Amino acid sequence: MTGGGSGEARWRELPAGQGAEGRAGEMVRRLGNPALPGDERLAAIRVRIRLRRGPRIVRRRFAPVLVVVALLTGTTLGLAASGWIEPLRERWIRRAVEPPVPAADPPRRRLRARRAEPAPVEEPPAVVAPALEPAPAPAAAPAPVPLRRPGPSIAPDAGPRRETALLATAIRKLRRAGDARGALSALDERAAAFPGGELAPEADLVRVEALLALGERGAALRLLDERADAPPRARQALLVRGELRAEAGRCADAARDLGMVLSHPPRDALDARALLARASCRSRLHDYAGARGDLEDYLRGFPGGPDAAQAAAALRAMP
Amino acid sequence: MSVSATGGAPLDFDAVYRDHARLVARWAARLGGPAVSVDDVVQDVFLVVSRRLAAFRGEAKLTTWLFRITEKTVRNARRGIRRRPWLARLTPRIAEAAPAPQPSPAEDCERREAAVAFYRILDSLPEKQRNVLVLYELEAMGAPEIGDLLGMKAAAVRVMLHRARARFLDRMQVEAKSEGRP
Repeated sequence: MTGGGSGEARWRELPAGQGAEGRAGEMVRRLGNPALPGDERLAAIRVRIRLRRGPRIVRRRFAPVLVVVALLTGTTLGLAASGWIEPLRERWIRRAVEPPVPAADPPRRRLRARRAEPAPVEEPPAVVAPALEPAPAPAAAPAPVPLRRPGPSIAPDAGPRRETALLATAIRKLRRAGDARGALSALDERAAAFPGGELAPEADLVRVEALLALGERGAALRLLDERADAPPRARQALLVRGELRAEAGRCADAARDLGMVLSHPPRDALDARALLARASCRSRLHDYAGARGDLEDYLRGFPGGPDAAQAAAALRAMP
Repeated sequence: MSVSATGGAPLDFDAVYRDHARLVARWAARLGGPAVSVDDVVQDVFLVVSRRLAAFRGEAKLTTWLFRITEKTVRNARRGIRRRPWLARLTPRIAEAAPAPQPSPAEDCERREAAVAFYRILDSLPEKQRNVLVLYELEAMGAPEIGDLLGMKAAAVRVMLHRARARFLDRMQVEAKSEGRP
């Protein structure tokens, strides 16, 4: 039989053993007929189309406004998701809580700032900023930090400054230059110079980001695993750990991490990812009710989200 | 005002949907393969139709017009899936973990594997060759019908089909060799 005017038989009409074409025919025969939506599903699609169309005049008149709003929302969510807002906020808080400069010392301080000289012997306290979480107390310095440190020394806050500079270098290399290996080198330098430094949690997060950029997901997960108790400000770290654990098949651990991410009040892009990842975990743990709940939450919270269609499809596939 | 290709009567969206939704779903399933959600494609296609039906003047056949929209929509959906590989990994996992609505015999598994393999090879073809091959081999359409849908002459369809088949078979043999099969 010829193929409807093409002059060649269709693959499916050839016997199975007949060379490459026969194998292709076998493949086509095994495909069978596709599962098509029935009347009910087509009616449901029709309803969705009716809802999506909306009054034409509204769409035309407000389309520019909607575009601007969408751009602003997207930018804000993008900033939040990329982790830039949190460090900025912390910096502002640190500035706000930094102890005021003693009144007796203002001329000297201004002079130092202008000339950028090495810090003078008498200098305000070494503790630059109280961490948001309590930092481990240094073993060699049980006494309270004096306001003025006697004797010549390097600038008391040069350590934290150097640590911050190294971390900033790592972030710049990673996020602006896309140089993950360079970022890891800067992080190694920071870790060697400041073992257990104040910025260790932040440095760990940057290291995880760099490892993920290099595709070393196992190493990233090991590092996150070592952090038994991630502080609340590292929601993104918890989310990434949850996703990596889910990928490694450790669904129970992953569901716990993702649950912690979702227990925080803001409803943001991290929640969206956490809900989808937890739905995946729960379905693999045969917790279909939980998975269904997560997908429904996702569709309720992010009806226009980029993965809404896939979430809806997954929801339909749930028992 | 939109008119029907035959009599010049205005086209009503509901009538177009009622008469062609199944056909569009079938094209979507065939062109998109297992990675694409048929329901979503149907919805997106008819959203476009609802917006543009008023401007449809019947220069081409309605089915040709619908096929063009479907083909573009499927292409966009496939692009979207390629751009977000993590999601493509996530969704099948959910679907795999969820029990199938019917008893899932080994046939289903085989069919799924065949579909994945077939569409993986198909995706290595240029778009036009891909479409011609799908319509000829899977939809069992003839060259003149395919020409009508794609806006080509039947002779051009035959040439394209010949190239598409050769390329598909070459690719299939390369894959078989890399997997150690004869």
